[in-house]
Amino acid sequence: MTLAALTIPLAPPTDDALLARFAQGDRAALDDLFRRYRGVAYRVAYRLLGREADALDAVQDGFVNALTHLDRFGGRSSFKTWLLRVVCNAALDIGRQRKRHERVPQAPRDASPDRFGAGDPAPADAELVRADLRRAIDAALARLPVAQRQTFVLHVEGELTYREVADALGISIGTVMSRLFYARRRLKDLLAGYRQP
Amino acid sequence: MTPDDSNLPRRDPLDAYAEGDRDAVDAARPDEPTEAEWDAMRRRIRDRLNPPTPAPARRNWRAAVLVAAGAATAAAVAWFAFVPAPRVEVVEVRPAVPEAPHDPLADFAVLPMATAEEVDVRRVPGAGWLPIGPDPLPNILALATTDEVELDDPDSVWPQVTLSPGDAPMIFAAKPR
Repeated sequence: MTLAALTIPLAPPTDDALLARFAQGDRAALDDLFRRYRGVAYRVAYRLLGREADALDAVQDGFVNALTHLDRFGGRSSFKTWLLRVVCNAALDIGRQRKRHERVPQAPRDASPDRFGAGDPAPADAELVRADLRRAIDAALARLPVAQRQTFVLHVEGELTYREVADALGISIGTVMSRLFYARRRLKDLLAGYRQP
Repeated sequence: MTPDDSNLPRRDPLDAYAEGDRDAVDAARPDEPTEAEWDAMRRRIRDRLNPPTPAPARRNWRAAVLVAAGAATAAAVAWFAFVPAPRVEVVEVRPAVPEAPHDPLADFAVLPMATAEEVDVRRVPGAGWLPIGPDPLPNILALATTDEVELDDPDSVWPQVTLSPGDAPMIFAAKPR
C-alpha cells in the first residue's frame, strides 16, 4: 500500500475558523462561507419573496449585513442561524419596498380566502409535475401571514431546528410550534384548493 | 431481499410539503441561480465588504509622501532620544456592557396605559356593571402588528377597517352600540 493511499482527507474548516480567517482579511474564507450557505439562503429568500431577482438581492444584502455586523452575532448562535435571520430581515425589507411600489389587488369580497381563485392554474392530471408543484407552493406560501411564513420557511427550507428558529426570530419555542401548526394547517387547506378545483 | 413498497399508497406531494417532508421539500426546490450569477453576486459582496481604495492621482505624490514619512520618522527618533519618557498613566478599563436584546417594536411609539393604581373611579354612568378586582392588564400588553394579523373579511359590526394600514401596531375597537 502506498503512502498516498493512507492520506486522510482533511475535514472542511468550521464556520468559526472561516470567520476568524475572514476577520483577518482572508478573502478566500469569505468565498468558502458564501459557497457553503448561498443555496439555503437563496431558498429561504425565494420562498419569502416568490421572485428570483428579489431573492438574489436579499441574499446579497444578507451576506453583506451578516458579515458587516458580526459583532452583534457574537457567536451566540450558529453562523447559519445568524445569516438566515439577516437574510429574512433583508427579504422583509425588500418585500415592504415592493409593496409600497405596487398596488396589490385585494381579493373580491365574495371570494373564499382559503381557496385559489378561478384564475389560478390547476392541473387536470392528478400527478403534479415539478413546475406545477412549485407554483402551487409559491402561491400558497404567499397567502400565509408573514410571521407564519417566516417561521415555516426557516424551519422547512432553512432546515433550522425549533430552537434555531426561535433564536433567529427572537421568539419562544412555543411560539415557533404554534406558528408552525397554524401554517401547516393553512397550507394544507390552500393546497387542497389547488388540487381539487 | 428488499421490501416492496410499490403497493403502498403514495403520499400526496403537497401534503408532504406542508408537513415538511424532506423529499417533498427537495422535489419542490426553486431553480437555483447559475454559477455565473453566483459568481457575480460573490464579487459584488466582496466589493461591498472591501470598497476599493482610490489610486493616487500622480506618481510624484507618492515620492512626496515617502519623503514626508521619512522626515517624520527622523523627527520622532530625535524626540524620543532627547525628551524623557512621560509618566505612564493608569486608565481604568471597564468591561463592555452587554448589548440589550433587540426590541422588534423599538421603532413604534409607546402607547401609554393606566394601571389600576392610577385610576380612581368616582362615578360609573349607566347601570349593570361594577368595576371590581385587579385590572386586566397587569403586565406589558403585546400588540400584534399587521404582519402578524391577516384580516380577510371584516364583519359589518366592526368600524371602518383598513385592510392594510401599514406596519404600525393596531388596535381594533368595536363600534359603539
